[in-house]
Amino acid sequence: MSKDRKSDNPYRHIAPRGFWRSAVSEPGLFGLSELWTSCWQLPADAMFATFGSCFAQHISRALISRKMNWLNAEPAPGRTPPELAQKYNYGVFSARTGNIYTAAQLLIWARLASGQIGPESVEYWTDDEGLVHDLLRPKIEPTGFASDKEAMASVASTARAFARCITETDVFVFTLGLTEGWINRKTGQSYSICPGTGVGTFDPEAHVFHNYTYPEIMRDLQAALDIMWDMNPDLRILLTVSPVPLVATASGDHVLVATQYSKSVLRAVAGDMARQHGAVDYFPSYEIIAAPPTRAAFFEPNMRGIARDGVDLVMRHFFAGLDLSGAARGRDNSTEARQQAEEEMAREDLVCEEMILEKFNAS
Amino acid sequence: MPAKPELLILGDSHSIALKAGADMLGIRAEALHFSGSRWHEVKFTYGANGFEPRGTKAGVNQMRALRERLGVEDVFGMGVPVISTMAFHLGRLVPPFGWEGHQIQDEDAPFIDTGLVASRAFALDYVQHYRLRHIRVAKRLARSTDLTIVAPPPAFDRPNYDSMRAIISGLLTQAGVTVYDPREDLADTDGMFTPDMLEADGVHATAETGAKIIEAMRKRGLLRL
Repeated sequence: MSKDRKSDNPYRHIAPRGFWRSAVSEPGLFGLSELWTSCWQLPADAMFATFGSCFAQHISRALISRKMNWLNAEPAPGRTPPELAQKYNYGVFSARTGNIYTAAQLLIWARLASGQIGPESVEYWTDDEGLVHDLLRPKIEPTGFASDKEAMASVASTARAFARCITETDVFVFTLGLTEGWINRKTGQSYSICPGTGVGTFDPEAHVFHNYTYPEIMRDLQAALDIMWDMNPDLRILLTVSPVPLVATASGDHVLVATQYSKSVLRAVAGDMARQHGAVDYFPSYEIIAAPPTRAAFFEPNMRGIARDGVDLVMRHFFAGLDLSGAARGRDNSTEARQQAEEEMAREDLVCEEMILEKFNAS
Repeated sequence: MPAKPELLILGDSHSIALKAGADMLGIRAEALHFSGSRWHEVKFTYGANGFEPRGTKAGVNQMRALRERLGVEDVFGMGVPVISTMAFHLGRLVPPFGWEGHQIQDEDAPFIDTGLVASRAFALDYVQHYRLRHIRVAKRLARSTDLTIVAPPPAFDRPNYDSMRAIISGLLTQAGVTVYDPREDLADTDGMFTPDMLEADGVHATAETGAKIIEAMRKRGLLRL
């Protein structure tokens, strides 16, 4: 065997981005490139929807700030002042779902959106003041709903908006946040936060901690995606994993260990799901923030919050990797109803002004 | 100087029918009207001389003329009963609320199964944002005179109008302002005014209806003329 033949091996044919020295050590954190390249050619006016854990909000904001088509399927009513929209959690995600931390909760929303289950299937809780909270979105209203009927109508409204996010978008961005959750052993309801931590009453007989395993998350995510693809076979799913560590763990492990476990499982699920489906891709927001090159520089002093610079870097890689070279399809996110209403008001105003003027003529 | 009026009327285009109605009933009434859009934009203030339009030419001119005619600065604080349509102006408030298809789920209404739903708590906050100053001024007016605010005629069954109407009535009442809803005495069995009670625009009451409203208020003891 010649010396040349011996040295020929697969690594000789790997691009520099495949080697730590040339891809990470030498360029440094801000020189990292080709971290992610979208496997899809999207239309120039591609429509995005964003959901998931709190880190997904950054993707919503970045899409909006770049004036890209981000579907806000459940916006605040017209002329809502920004502080009021914020108070009622409008404009955070593409529908008013609140944080969707687990694949199990995504599955619930997919079932609600498809009509497989109705809003009556969600658990509602009435507080001491008679206000009602839905335990799928416990913090969505600052004080709660006036009645069960109103709470249920609101869940149904969000489910319809969520359905639009499936049927009217090109890319559904979903940020996986947690493996840990709470479920009701009697009803099977999955909670986004532990009952009793602000909303709901903790019942040790009913409410049990559950740390979703890789197979369970794969199963729930696959089931959710199957429903979504039934509704829109062309829908592309872009998965990300939130780099934000757990606030607390009920697993019994140290929270640092529990965080690493949780993120590792989610990262593996996202990667494997992307490998299994051409319509699923994985964007490495987790790695950009949490991998060694950053030396944790993008975490706030509490080592949990993500600094603005880190979010900006994530989004730079996101937009650098997007391929929006496809032909635009003339998507317009503006609302015709708004224009019609404006015109109607202007006409009505004119009528009112004329009535008042006419009054003076008469006198 | 003309005789002191028996009634003062203040408001938007809905107050025109009230003035016409007062005229039909032979009540000596003076009025100040400006459009709902100016009311919505808070083109008024409450200062040392009481209620004043501000930033609306029509309103300012009428106010000046009223002051000259009546010989007082604080026209709406001169001790004459005031009826007003201020604070509602639903034509400027409700359509934008519904731009994106939002509806308020009222308890006695059918379950909303299309479009978007906004909670009553949100609707209350929304109304308070746009009507806080109207209600404050109405409260101050009510302290200085015998004020009754008349809700707009129930003219059509469109989403959110009834809910917003009820929210504003509730906020005024909480603020200690008397509100009269003509629906209570004059509406048909469906809760609406019949078409013959309305102008051709289908929104504003006729002069005859305005007269009926004043009569109904008298019967309820809200107007002692």
